[in-house]
Amino acid sequence: MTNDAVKTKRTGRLAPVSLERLPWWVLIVLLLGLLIAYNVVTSTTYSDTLKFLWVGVKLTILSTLVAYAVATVIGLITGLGRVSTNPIFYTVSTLYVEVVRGIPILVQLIYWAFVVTPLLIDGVNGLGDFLTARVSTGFLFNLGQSFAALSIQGIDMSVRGVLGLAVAYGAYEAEVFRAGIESIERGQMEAARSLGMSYFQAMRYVILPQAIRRVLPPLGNDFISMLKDSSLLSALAIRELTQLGKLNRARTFRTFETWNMVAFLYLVMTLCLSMGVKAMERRLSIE
Amino acid sequence: MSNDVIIDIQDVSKHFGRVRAVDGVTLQVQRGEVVVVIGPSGSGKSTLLRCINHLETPTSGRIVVDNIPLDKTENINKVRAEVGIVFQLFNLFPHLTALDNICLAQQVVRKRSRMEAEARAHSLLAKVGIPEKANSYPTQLSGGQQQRVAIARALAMDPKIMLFDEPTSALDPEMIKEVLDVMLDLAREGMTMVVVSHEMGFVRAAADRIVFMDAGRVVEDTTPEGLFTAPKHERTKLFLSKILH
Repeated sequence: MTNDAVKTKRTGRLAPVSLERLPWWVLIVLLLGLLIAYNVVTSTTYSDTLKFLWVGVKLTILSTLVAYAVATVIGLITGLGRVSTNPIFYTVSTLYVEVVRGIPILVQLIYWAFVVTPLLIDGVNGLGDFLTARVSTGFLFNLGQSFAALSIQGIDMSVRGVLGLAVAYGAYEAEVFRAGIESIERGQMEAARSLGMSYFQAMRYVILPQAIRRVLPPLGNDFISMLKDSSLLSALAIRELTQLGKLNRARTFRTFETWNMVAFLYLVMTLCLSMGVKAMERRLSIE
Repeated sequence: MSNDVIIDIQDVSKHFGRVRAVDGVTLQVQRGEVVVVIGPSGSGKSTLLRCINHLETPTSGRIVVDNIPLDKTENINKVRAEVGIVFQLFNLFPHLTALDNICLAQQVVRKRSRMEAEARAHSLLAKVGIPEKANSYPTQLSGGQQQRVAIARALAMDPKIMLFDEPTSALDPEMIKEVLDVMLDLAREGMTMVVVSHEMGFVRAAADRIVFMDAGRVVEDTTPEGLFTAPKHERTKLFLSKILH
């Protein structure tokens, strides 16, 4: 190998590229992509399927973005609770993380949609009845009336599903944030506190800016996982990509074409995202 | 007891489990005094220093800093803003430039405007001899430069007392002097300083008092001359024979 390299240098030929080192998997994926693209152009079954699924792609992206944003907020707050010395904040956060991580996401989604939401609606209705019985006019009466009239159909299934997904992922992100905060050297908190900063000032200005930079790559990976897990929303008949795949198959009986297309669309989305995460990792490691 | 005592440590102990890191120490520091604490490793000198601004909570005893007793959280934060501390490993904030390291607590704790904080930071960077490093990040600075930024960061809060916890132990030999020079300047200006260090050059040049600790207790509390010429205790003699060649 080294002899070869020396020889090449002397003769001035192009350096030989080791065949084993080529990213073959990328080439194979590209080839598969070309195959699908060729089918979309030439076969009406494929192009028709793509057209039908496109709305689902958009809803998949939208619900992932919304659920992820909510999950990040939940995760940050809960992560702070996990490192807190306040026993109540710590206990509530830990309870949430342990319970949610111990239940399959699919079961959680069903539970949110068909158990938690109806219970909440019952509660709100009850509050409305209570208010209208006590007050006869004014703002509270109007509020009571609208509370009492709220029905389960008023809460769209996609809202329930996205919330369920956010709550489920919030627990995982809490652990990411906790790990990030705990990875910052003790001396940083000591230096900040010794300058007279309160615990929260030290967190906000010193610990979190460093911790968040460290956890950006794992947070990016969670985003990719969530995009894939958003397919579970199909169990609630939310018309995202997987659900539209089911509908398309039922509509056309074209099983192979439908699921080829669905799988390919997911793959395109996740590969693009993971390239983004890799680029971010590279940038952060240089800094 | 003179009534210009600025740090009053009364019978303070700090236990870590069954280890008595600090064991019933009583010590007073006068305003403007430079006290150097020496002793073998594990003798409790750093722990004692860290008790002064409550980075370690004493297991028992009483500490009063500038007439503020360290008992309530609000008092602890008040004292911390009055007491600067410089750490062995600098503990600069790596995500901020030297300038921002010095400005942050001024703005957040002292509520100074950005312009005011920056002006103070620039003058302090000049004072510690690195005015050109304002926009450098800590990783771009040498150890000695980082420690000087750390000193400037502490001084920016206008502390009445400066604590130094082995400020030169993590530095290359040729960088020790630049940090000691800054500390000497501070001592000359009349800053009250408590320094944990074995830099005997600094002791000779600046220390008013020297405290020798062993096994969590103060064994000897005397002047530098007294210590070097006539140490009273066997333990002190043994220790000095090891560090003075």
